[in-house]
Amino acid sequence: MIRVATWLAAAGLSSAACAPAPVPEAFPQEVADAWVERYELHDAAGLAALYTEDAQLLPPDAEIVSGRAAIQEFFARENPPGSAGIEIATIETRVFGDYAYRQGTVRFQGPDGEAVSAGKFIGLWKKADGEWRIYRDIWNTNAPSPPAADDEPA
Amino acid sequence: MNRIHLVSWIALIAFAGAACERTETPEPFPQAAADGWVAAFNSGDAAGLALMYSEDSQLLPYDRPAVNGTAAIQEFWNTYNPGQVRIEVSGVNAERAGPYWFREGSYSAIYPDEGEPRVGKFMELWKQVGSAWLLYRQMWSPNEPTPPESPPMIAPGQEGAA
Repeated sequence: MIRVATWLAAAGLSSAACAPAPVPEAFPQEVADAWVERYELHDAAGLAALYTEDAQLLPPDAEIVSGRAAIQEFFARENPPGSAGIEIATIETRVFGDYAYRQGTVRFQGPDGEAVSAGKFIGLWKKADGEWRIYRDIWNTNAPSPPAADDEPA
Repeated sequence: MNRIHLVSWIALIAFAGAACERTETPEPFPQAAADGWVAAFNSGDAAGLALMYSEDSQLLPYDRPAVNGTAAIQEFWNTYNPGQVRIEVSGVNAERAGPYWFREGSYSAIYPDEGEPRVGKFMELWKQVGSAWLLYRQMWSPNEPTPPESPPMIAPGQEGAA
């Protein structure tokens, strides 16, 4: 009887110790919303703060941008006051433990709000010290950029 | 009686520990699958490439709309002249993220009629389907703008895709 009870306890202990991971939490949409707000405010420091210290941007037509300080420089250079707006739509999010994944589309807008180019992105997020931050951010456009007016033949 | 009890509890703890250890052993990245992708591309096997993607996979290519599903992916890769263009991958980092593998790195695309390779970076998500690890998302971009007259060309059936 003792032996049966012990093995029943063993089975219970092993299943409790190896219980499945808790139900995944929701994607941290408030951080994603803050990214858009800060982008539209041209707040490079605020944007950089939404990335992990070891984050990387993988922008098209440019080298990888590594680390929060370089990311701040990137946004200060590429998104100065007066530059085009942005519209982001989420297609898919997934959260698994301390990682999250987000895929979506992006439209860059001209000064009058018109779409000047469209693209897509993937963000890989990490939770560190209880805070969700962007770990990898890759995007590209759906079509080549039209030639600048200066490049067109006379 | 006490000795039996003690032995049972030792066995219990060992059993529980062993059971958990099995689930927590880190599984290595499926490097053979990634190597197979490069080998298939460099041998011009677009059909073989398509087999390395999940049915619900997406390519997110540079300067092209997203490409959905294995049939469209096979058509897409055909436009890249696999086997003539050669791909080399370097600086790879892979991390397990829940049920996925996240993988990133740099690539060099060597075109037969160009002196310098086109260099860029990529990011991938892999997922397990049955016993196979397959590409679920794959995205990349070059480090410099691609000359407008250069491939990739528009994939068949994708003209005007949104």
